[in-house]
Amino acid sequence: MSYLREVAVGGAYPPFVALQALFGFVPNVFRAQTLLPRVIEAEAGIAYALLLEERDLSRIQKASISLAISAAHGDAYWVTGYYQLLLSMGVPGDTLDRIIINDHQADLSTRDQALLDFARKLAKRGPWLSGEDIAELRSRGLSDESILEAVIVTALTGFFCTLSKGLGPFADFMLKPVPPASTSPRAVGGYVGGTGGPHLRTVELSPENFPPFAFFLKGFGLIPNLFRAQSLRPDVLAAEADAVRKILQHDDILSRLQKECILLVGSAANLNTYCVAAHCEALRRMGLSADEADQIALDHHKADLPEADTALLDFILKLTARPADFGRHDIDKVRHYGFTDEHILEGVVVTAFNTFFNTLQMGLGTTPDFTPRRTFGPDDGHRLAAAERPSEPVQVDPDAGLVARAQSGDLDAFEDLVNRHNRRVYRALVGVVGNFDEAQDAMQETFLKAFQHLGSFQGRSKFSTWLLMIASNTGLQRLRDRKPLESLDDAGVEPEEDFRPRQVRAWTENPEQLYSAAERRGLVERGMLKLPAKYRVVLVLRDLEQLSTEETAVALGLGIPAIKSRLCRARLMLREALAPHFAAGAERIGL
Amino acid sequence: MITCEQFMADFGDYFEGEVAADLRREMESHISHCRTCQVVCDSTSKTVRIVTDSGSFYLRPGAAQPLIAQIMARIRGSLES
Repeated sequence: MSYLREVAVGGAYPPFVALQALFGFVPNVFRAQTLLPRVIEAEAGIAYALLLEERDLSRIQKASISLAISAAHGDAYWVTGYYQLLLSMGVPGDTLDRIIINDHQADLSTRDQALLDFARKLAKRGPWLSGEDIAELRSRGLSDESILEAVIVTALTGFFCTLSKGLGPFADFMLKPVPPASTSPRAVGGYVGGTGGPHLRTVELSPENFPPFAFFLKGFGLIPNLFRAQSLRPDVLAAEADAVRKILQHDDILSRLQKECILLVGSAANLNTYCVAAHCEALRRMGLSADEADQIALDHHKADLPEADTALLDFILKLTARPADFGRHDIDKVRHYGFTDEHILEGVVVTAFNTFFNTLQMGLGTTPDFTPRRTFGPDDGHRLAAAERPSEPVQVDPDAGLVARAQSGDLDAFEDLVNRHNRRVYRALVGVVGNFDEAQDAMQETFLKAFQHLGSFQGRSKFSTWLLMIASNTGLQRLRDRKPLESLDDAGVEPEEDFRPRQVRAWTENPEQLYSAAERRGLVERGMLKLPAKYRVVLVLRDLEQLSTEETAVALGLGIPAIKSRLCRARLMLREALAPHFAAGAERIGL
Repeated sequence: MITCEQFMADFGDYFEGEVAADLRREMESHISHCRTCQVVCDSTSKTVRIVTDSGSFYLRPGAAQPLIAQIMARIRGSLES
């Protein structure tokens, strides 16, 4: 299962046929978008135009670029996919392994090595790319057509990597281990900013006889330089125009205003002066003032936006700037603001499409179509640090500052920590002791113990995880005192084959519609309270608190296999309890 | 072709997207033929969705504040004594 709901599509769905031809399989990242077939059609259209034929670069060269870029992004999903594709084309595994780790002994020609170096620089340090990098490729005998193709392949790979991070698809193959993505050096000199071109030769295309340009002219009031700069590939331009139509111009899910805000915030995070100017202009045409658009680009939290839209922009900013930290919990966070799976899917796709255009623009060096009110420069290093792709691997504990103050005796800081975490601790304790009143007592005990032992907290785990560890131990002790037979600490892995589902009637399509939110909460709480504690607590931490498997394992002092096993059993048991209420055709059962 | 028992044995990993491609294909093939396992898979997915969105075991703000006040009073009391 990916992060979002999926629906079945017909066996000979044309985009899947095209993707099968390109990859030899249909990557699950596309199956994860079946809620919005038009976006799959858009993505497959660009990929098909760009990747299938051997025109200027060979298929192996293009797939090698994609492998190198996926590795630079630390994207194991796509590294595995391109690895399999290149193996099927006859490239030795040893060569591929060396490309993944950016080893210059990968048995490649100097031209191919130069191509990979160029693509890596474009993907990771686009604002530093200059005409000299293009000249270097030309000196290796690469034509402008080949360089353009390399730029678009790099951009498309970034598009697909953002999709995989945002959607969490099933692995298509056993995942290949990928070394941690290197971070970009904080270079100051040589900053270009993406507008030092245009770098490549173009040919004249006219809106009168080239429909994609007529489409851009009608939609934008001009033909953006970003598209003019790709005139050597009219077939790809046609696919891009189709993708703009299918991804950006619909407003049946997210509004066009919401999409423009996503494009603006994402482009600002990527320090893309050209795209920021373009999207500010688009927002101005939608009725926002220039200052309002600037504020969204600069800090959307200070802009006058609805709370839900601010949360949506937080979501896409994280996906753009810190994809390695992005996960299911981010999806669930925006769900709480009322966004449906369709909204979230479209938000991810628009973010990924923005990555595509930002990368394209940096590679082509096009000058802005509108006078930028803000030009990003090397002094925006702090923004680049935030936007650096891939993100910094070290997770910063958001409580670190308060914890340090509390450790030095600041009681107000400790009270802030109690305010911040009491609900989570309470939930975990209900999960263990299965009783609301006792959970409140145990919560007090947990925070008192945490305060007493605060000096021993050394930050090896997040403070919140440490707190949950204390909570689970506190609850467990109460459970032992009360019910010696029920415990959490028999750490064995329960064989799931022992569990046979009994309720096998299909559920109604939208079970949420059968009961009010309060009724559903009551059903869930009653169902969960009937579960044995060792299952209930795992369900609470994983599905209510959205902790990762690893964090849950640390908090409960159990191994990961035990957590996985118990989570599955807990979900199946709760499913049994809920089934009579949600099975298709079932009468509403008195609550 | 795998059996329902084998399907259920790997169901947890399948549900989390953590099975290898070959096994996933076998399991998907099983689901396409087995109505029972299809129902289990679909209804488990809906169960998780309902649980996640349920706001269960929520400590109301009105209930939290007196508890926090008690906790802090006990801590301050312990420091004074």
